Amino acid sequence: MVPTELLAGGALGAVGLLLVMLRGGHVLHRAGGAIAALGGLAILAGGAGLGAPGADGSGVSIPLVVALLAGVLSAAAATRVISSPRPVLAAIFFVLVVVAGCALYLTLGAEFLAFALVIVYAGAILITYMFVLMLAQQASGERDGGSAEYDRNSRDPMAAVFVGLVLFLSIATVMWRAVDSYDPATTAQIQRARSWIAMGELPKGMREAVEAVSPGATPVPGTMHVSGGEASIDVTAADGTSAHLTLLESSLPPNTQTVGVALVNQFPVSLELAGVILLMAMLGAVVLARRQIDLGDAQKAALHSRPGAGGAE
Amino acid sequence: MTALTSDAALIRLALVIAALLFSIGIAGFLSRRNMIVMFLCTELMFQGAALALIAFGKMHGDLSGQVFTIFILTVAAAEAALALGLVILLYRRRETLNSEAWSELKE
Repeated sequence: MVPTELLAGGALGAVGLLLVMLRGGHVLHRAGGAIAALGGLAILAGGAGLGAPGADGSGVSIPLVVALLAGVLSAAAATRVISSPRPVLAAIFFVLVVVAGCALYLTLGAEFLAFALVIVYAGAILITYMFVLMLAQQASGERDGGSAEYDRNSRDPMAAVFVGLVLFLSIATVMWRAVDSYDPATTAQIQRARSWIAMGELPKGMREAVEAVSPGATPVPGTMHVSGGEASIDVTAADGTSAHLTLLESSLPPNTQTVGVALVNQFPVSLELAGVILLMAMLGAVVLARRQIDLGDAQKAALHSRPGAGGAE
Repeated sequence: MTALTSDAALIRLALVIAALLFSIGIAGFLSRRNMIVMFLCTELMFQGAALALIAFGKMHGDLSGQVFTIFILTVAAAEAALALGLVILLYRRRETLNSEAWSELKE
């Protein structure tokens, strides 16, 4: 069955979203926003388990509070993306969704991706969107109150919100159940073991980790042994004697290094393919941009008679 | 509802936000009529998918989720470049971003 938090919050959020998208008037719009916010808060509070305090007695931790704030921010901004009548504002609110998402990635321990997403999405992709929005400046005949008619009126908001609600309830219910099988202690151990194995690929990091335990010692390559989340390795000490050391947990490699090792070691072919995809996209974009479009005489005349347009011809 | 450790609560929260972003994205894609905003809504769905991948990666103590998100990022960048080029072409033909200007395609 669908968890009650999701069902109640989702229904409230859908009603609010519908009111926002229908643009019935100022009061209805505001009321819709408030209802949607209530629904969203109910969903997020349910997701964070605020109704039932943690089993380990910790209740609400700092990452959880950060994640809650980021969730509120990203849900609100996403709603504005799809309801804002001005495309430029929609794009700017999308940047907000990305930034809030990055706060979530940080709480989930994906530091590299958090910053990569800010650079690539908020920095590069959204700038492209902005350029296209400016290039496709709306014709003056469509302007009325700052935004075009097709931006102010949604198409079938009721059907769209219904599809969104059904999709949300089904996806969120499946994911909600999936977390029940989560075992933090075992997972943390697996994660540590994988990080140590990644460390085996990093000679410099390995030397530093050995130095931290026994200064002056050098590791013997290929002798690392990982079990139960702990790593040990044979070393040659400064005076030439051999020893077997257990590495300190504080010298575990950071997220960026482990992601890099995983990327290059486990997915080398995909990495090459990603490069090919980017190259093809670049070629495709150039080909698309070069194409000239032959307008009919009537269309040309209409373009040139429009004030402030067609100056480049 | 069973009690959760704070890590499990964090993962569940992230997954719920991912589902929320994805479904808001699809509602926007179906209801907006501006072609550029429709593409923006698909990016919103990308964000939801990426968040779900990272949360599941954390849940299984596996880095494949993060690596896959890097590939998603690549595909999203390629898609944005091509889709926006196409939007510009479509705009030059009809002088409008209204997707309903192309509604004869469904016939």
